[in-house]
Amino acid sequence: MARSPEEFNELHAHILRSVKHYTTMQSKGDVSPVANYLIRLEGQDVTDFSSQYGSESSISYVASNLAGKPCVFPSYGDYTQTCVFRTYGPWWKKAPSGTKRYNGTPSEFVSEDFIEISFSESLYPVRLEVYETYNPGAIVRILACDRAGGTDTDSGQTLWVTLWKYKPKPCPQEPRIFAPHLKRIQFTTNLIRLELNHHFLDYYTELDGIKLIGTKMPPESCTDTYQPAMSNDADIDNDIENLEDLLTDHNTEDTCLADRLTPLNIKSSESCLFTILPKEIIHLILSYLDIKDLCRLAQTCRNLKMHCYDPYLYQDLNLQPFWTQISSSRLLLIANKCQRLQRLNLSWVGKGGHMNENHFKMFLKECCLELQTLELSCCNFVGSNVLDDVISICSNLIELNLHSCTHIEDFSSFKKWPLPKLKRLNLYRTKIDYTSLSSVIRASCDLEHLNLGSCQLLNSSINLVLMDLGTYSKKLKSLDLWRMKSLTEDALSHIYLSCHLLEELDIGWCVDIKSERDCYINLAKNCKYLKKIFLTANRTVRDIDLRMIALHCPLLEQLDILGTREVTREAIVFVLESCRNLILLDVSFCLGISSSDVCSWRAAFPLVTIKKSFQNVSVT
Amino acid sequence: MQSVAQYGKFVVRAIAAGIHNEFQLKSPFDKAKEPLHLVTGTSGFSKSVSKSNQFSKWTFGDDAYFISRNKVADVLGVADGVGGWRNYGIDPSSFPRSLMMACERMVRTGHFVPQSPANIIAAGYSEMLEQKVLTLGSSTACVVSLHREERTIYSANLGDSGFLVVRDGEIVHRSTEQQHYFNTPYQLAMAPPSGDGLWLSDSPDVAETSSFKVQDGDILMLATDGLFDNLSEDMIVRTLESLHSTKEEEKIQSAACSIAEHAYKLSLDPDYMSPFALSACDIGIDLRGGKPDDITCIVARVTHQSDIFL
Repeated sequence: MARSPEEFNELHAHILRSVKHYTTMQSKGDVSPVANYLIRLEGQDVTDFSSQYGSESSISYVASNLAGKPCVFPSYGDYTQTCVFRTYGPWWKKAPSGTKRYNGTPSEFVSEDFIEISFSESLYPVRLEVYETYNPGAIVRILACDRAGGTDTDSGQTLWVTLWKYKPKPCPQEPRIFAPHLKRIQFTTNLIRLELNHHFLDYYTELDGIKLIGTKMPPESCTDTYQPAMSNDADIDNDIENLEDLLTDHNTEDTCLADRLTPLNIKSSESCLFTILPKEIIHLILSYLDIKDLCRLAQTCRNLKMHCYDPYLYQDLNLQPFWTQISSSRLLLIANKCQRLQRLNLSWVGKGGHMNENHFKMFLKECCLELQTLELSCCNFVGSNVLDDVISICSNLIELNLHSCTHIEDFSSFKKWPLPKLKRLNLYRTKIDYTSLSSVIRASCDLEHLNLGSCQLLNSSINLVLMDLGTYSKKLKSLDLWRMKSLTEDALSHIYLSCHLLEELDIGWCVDIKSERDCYINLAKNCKYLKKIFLTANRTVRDIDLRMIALHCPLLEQLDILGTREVTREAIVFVLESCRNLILLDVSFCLGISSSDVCSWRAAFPLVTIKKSFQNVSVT
Repeated sequence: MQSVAQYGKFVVRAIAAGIHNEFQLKSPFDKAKEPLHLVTGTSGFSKSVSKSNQFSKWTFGDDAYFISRNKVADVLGVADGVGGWRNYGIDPSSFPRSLMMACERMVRTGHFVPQSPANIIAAGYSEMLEQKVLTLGSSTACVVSLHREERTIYSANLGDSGFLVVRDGEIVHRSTEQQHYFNTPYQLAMAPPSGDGLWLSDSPDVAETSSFKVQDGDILMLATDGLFDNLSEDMIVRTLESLHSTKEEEKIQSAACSIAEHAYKLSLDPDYMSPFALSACDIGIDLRGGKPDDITCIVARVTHQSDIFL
């Protein structure tokens, strides 16, 4: 895909046509002071993103590094100056905290992360260049925002248009400028969104920069042959667009396909052979369809429509794939199908259409009283008021995902409605404060999974949080404390002394933890069910710590000891030999572990995926 | 070192006065409030040329520097790595280089306040903790930023590197050095995680800060102790004053070269009473000659911003 000679020829031809167009316009007397030349812009500002590797206040490994001039390319390796996301590969899904996929999710929806970047001018995009400098191939979808056209959000006008999408696939590990063929659009844009899937990545993907190349005037007026025929163009148009058409009840009287196929000698009451099947069987068959196909099928025949709109099929509702089209008014349109709703995923929703707080509240009241799972990851419409509505109405929630809900300023609603049945709570990158969190922890004694990664306001009181967890959350299985810089080994003791069922602990980049007081040894001794331990950049991890982990945690599957200086080969071999279930081991930047060690271990322990990231020469 | 420098002050003032008056006539009055910027030149020497460690951008031996600009400010910085780390198998140049690179990125990406260069040092230092590879070592640091609109330089200095501002052949502003004891400056450090308290490590907060209004024609010089220990201030001022009437980058660069070269030659002279030797004598150590050390010197001339485009 990157920089093929044909592409350059096309671009060149395009420029020539632009110039030609300009001259013809002038001769026609069409006064146009600006020639339709190609303009090349660097990303200006990262306006929104779903996750990042780096600290919130840092400039290392953070999403905002996508803006500005690329500075690593053409080097290849793991550099702080790039934009890095939080995960890679299948490992996070395989961990104890991994969640199961929703029934009825369209198979073509694979996006896991996104980043939105603005440009200094609005252009008709001709080409987009993404500089990928480590583990390329994560980008699966590119969208453009039509800010001018999309202001009337309830009119059904689409704000976001897919310019390109593709299935994720493994990619050669080399730096590249990724410049896919874009779908032509009829509006100018200065906001581009990249959606990523990390499944096939060998390690974190790193994006160095992005450039938008486009014209000020509609490109079709000067050329309409630039876009080469693309096999997957049709797919883009068949996208999940016009969901509203599908979701709203259509008059199916005239177009009863199944009726027409029915032999004449069967009475109309049993009009369709298919419906002779028992209801349960039909339901079972229909349960394999995704929501889009269900809606389409419903339009074919009255009988099928009845089955397709059965609320039992909408117990799991994943609207994340349709985030470009969901608005609160559309949610109300489908409310009658959602009477049995148990799991609802509204992640990323709110950007493609307007989410009215009152409408959303109505929807919650109508459909979500018994809701068990609610996912609102990266929903900018969720502020303090909406949070208040959610947790006051959905008081039976078992799982709540507020991942990257950065617009919630005040979590004090948790003090009023502490969600006693909660088992899973994701507060990654939110502004949760200690007293609000404490109310939840004290009320939800069944809490199993808690993600507090990069919660900046908790940093000063993280030790108190862990004390509460130790006192009230005896059933805790997974705890993510990524980048809780002020976490100490004393605080950690509250967890390992009380939460013996712990299966997963991520204390990556908690750089204040010192191993000298044997906190890792005690952790291993007390939490024998541990399956995943991430000690990323805890520089003091020693041989004895690894040996004790290997001895006491036989179930261990994933271990990350990136950046420790103290560990020797022998200790790592001991881990590899002792932990029979080990599938992932990250020994990147461990002093004293060479690439040849890793190579020989990979051969000797083929079931373990061993990671060793690298940097070459220093890049400025 | 400071005491030696005082001697030449009055002589130089007399020489420079003439040039200054002439320049004043040329400057139109409306330029008085125009934004300023820096035209810079850099030079330096590594103490051991034969060491042949790979040439890196922005380093001279164990010294490192950076020059960075954004819309509101021009920022310069130097850092001098502490050589003692070599005995522990750690390259002493990697810490200052990493620190200066981090500071440069803070400036380039706009994550800084021009009025507070101490925060640039502190942020650069904490940025080093965000790197996957922990860079061990320690260094001094001196960062100066020119706020263009405010026509003011703000400085932060930790240790024995330093800067001075020359106007009309006279030092009008300078940093003071910070030492724990003789030849042991304040320093930022990243010690091995399991290490004991053997290493000196000062917080970025102890950096000495200052601000100073500058004007077109002022010459700013930022250097590591390798320069200040070998060149007396009147030697420095004599070389710098010639720059008052020029805006050409080449001349500023050649001045930086000649200062660094001068310091380098003197540092190898066994009979020269260098400022370093003099201050050693002050505390009763009998020492003669120059002080062989890595030398880094950034010379910058304060110029009207509109002159860049001339």
